[in-house]
Amino acid sequence: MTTMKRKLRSDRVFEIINFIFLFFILIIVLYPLVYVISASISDPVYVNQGTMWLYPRGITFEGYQRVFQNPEIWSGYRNTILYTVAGTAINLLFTVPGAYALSRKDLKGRGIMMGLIVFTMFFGGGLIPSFLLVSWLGMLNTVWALLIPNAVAVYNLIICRTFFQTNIPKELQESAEIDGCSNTVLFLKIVLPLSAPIIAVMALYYGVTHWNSYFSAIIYLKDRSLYPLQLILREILVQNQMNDTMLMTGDDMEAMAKQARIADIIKYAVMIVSSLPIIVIYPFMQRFFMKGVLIGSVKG
Amino acid sequence: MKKWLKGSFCIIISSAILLAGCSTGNKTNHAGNESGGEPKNFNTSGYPIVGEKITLTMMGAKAAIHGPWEDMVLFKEMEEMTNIHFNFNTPPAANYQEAKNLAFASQQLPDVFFNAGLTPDDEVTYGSQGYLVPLEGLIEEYAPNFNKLMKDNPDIKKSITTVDGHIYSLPLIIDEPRAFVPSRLWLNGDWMESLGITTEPTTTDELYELLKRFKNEDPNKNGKNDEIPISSEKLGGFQSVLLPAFGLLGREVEVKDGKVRFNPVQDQYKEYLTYLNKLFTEKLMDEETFVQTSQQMTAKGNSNQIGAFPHSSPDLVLKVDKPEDNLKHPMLGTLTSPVNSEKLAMKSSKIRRGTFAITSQNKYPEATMRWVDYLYSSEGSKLGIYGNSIKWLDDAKTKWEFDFPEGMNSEEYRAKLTPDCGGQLPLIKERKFDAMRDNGKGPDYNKMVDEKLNPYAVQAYPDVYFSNDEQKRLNIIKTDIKTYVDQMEAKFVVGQEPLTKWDDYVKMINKMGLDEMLKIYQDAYDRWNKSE
Repeated sequence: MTTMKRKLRSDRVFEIINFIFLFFILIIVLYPLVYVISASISDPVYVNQGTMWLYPRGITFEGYQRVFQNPEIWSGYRNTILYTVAGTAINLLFTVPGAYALSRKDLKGRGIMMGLIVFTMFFGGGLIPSFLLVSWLGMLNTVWALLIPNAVAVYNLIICRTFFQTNIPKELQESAEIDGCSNTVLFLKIVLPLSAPIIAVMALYYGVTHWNSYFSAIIYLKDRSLYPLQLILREILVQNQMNDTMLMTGDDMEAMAKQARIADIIKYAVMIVSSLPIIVIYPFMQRFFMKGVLIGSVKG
Repeated sequence: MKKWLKGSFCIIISSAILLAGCSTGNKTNHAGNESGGEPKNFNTSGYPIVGEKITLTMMGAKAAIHGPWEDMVLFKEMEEMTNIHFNFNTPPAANYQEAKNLAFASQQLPDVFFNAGLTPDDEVTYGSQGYLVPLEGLIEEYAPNFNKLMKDNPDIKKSITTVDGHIYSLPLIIDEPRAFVPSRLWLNGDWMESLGITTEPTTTDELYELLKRFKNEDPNKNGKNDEIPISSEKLGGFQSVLLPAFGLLGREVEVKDGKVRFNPVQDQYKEYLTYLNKLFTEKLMDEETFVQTSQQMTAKGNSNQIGAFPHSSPDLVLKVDKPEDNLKHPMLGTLTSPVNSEKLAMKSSKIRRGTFAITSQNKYPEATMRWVDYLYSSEGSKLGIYGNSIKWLDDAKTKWEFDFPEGMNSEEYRAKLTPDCGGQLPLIKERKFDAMRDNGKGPDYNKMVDEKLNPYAVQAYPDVYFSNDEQKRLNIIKTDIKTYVDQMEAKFVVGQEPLTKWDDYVKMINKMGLDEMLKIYQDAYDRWNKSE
C-alpha cells in the first residue's frame, strides 16, 4: 500500500516536471508565431524600437492592405494553389505505384532499378544541365517546368516503399492471387485502401515542398502571370532595398524613405499571408502524420 | 548487392557516353559580326532607325518597384521613334545574377542586356569568349552622343576598356555634384539649436567635444539620458566620412602618387581605430552600431535619439516633416585631425559600368547601337530618367518639376515609366538639367556638396579591369584579407583587442598575401593609366 502511494507520488512529480518542460517547449515554438502576428498589425516604428514584443502596439492594417492591393498577389495565389494541387497529384501518381512495385520481391530487376534510383539521390547533373534539359524538352516558361522535373523525390519513394514492405503482408497478396485477382486490381482495391496514412504523409510532404518552392520558378519562368506566390511576395519584400545609385542621385529621398517604411510594414504581413494556408492545413493532417511515419515501428 | 552495382554502373557509363556523343551539335556561332557594308533596312542617321519594324529580345533586372517593362513609356516612345520593338525577359533583381549566369552558361542569350548588372569579371570572361560583341567600332560609327562624351572625358574610355583592349559594355554616367560624395555626415540641427551651438566642428577633436555635449546636456529635452551621440549601420558609414579626416580615402586600396597602398595597414588607420575606440568606450557611439539594421537606426532617429549619422539625407533617419526642413540639419564638411592637416573627401566614380551590352545573338548591332545612343543625348536622358514626365514652369525653360499624379509616391510613379528608378541604365545624368529641378531636394544637396566636399574630393582607385587569372587570385587573397580586416576593425573599436596588438595585425595581413594583392592592383592601375 505504502509503496503504491510512493509510486503515485513519484509519478505525480514526473508528470509535473513533464508538464513544465513541455509548456516551455510550447512557449518557445509559439512565441515567434505570436510575435510575427502582432508585428504584422503594429506600427513598424514600435517593432524596430523593440517596444513591441508580445501584443501589438499602434495597430494598423496597412501592411495587409498593401499586400492585397497588389493584383499580382491573387494570380500568385492562384498559381501556387494550382502548382501545389496539380504537382502533388502528379507526384503521388508516380511515387505510390512506383514504390509499391519496388516493394514487391517478385519484381524482376528490382535491385538494379533501386540502385539507379538511389544513385540519383547522390549525383545530379547540376543546375545548367537540368536547365538545358528542360529547355530542350520545350517546357521553358510553361507550367510543366514546375510539375514534371522532380515528379518523384527519391527520399519519399523510399519511405513509401518501406511502408509497403512492412505493412502489406505477403499473405494478402497470395490469397488475392488465389482468388484470381490481377496485380492492378490488387493494388487499387486492396493495397491502396490500406495505405491511407502513407498517402496522406506523401501528399503533405510534396504539398509543402511545392508551396514553398520558388527557385524553379525563377529559373524556368519568364511570364509574370505564371509566377507563384512566393516570388511575388519576395518582390514586395525587397522593395526597400535601395541601391547605391538610388541614394547617390536620389532626387526624392523622402519618397524613398516612405517606400522603405511601407516595406517594413509589409514584411510581417507577407510572412503571415504566405504561411497561413499551410499552418491551417497542418492540424488536419497531423493524425495521419503520427500514424504514417511511426506505424512501421510499433505493432499496434 | 554487387550485381546491381555493376549493372547500374554499366548503364550509367554507357548512357553518359551516348549523351556526350549527342550533345555536340549545339554550338552558337561566336561572332563579333563586323559585316562589311551597311546592313539593309537601316538608316545611318535620322529616325526611324530601321525602315521595317524589327523585334529584339532584351534581358534586364526588374527591381521590385518597377512596373512591367513592356508598359513603360521609355520603351514605347523609343519604339515609336526608332521602329525597334523589344520582347522582355526581366527576372526579379533579387535573383537576376543567377538568371544572367544561367543565360550565359546555357547559351540562351538575349539580343541585348539593359540594366544589365554585368560585373567587370563578366565582361572580361564573356567578352573574350565571344558572347558579348566588342562595341568600340560601333560607337565610333553609330553612337555620336556617347562618342562625344568619351572624347570630352578620357577617363570614361579608360574605365570601360577591358584587359584585351575591347569595350564590351556601356556605362551609366553620373554628372550630378551630389553624387560625387554620396555618403555624408549629418548633425542633428534641433539638438545643436537647443544647446546653442552655431559652429560646426572642423577637426576630429571638435567633433568629439560636440558628441560629448550631445551625450551629457540632454539636447532632446526629455529629461532622460537616452541620447545616442553618433550612430551608424555597421562601420561602413564612418569609413567614408571619418577616414578622410585621417588622410585615408576609404578602407580599401588607394593610389597615392602613382603607387598603390592598402589603407588598413597604414599608421593613420591605427589613429582612426583609436579615435573610434575612444568614442565607443565613452559610450558616444551607438553600442548597437554593429548589429542594427537601417530600419532600427531610423526608428531611433525618428524618436529623436540620434545626434550624428552618416547617410545620404537627414530625412532617411530623422523625423522631418517638410522636405525643406532637411536644411535645418547641417552637413559636416571635411575634417582634419592631428595626423592629417589636408582636407579630403572620398569621391565616388562618375560611372557605373556594365549597364548595357550587345550579344553575339544580335543580328542588328548597328541599329541597336543607334537605339541606345539616343539615351546619351540631352533629350534621350530626360526620357530615360523621367519618362518625359516633366513640366516646365516657365517659357524660358529654366525651371522644371517632375510631374506625378496627386497622392502617389513620386518614385513609385517614376518606376512605372522607366527602369531607371532602382536600376542603372546606359544614359547620362546631366548636371545642367538636374540643377534646374524645382521639386525634390537634389539642387540643395548639389549646392552643399559642391561647397563643402567636392573641392577636396579625390577618387581612391579608378574603375579597372582584372584579367581572369588576376581575378581568380584576388577572389582568394582579397576575400581572406577583407574578412580579417573587418573582424579586427570591429574588435579594435569595441576594445576586444587592444591596439598594442597592431603590429601582429599588420604582420598577419602581410602573411595572407598582401604583396601579391597590391601587385595585382598596381598592374591593373598601370594598365589603366597607360590606356588611351
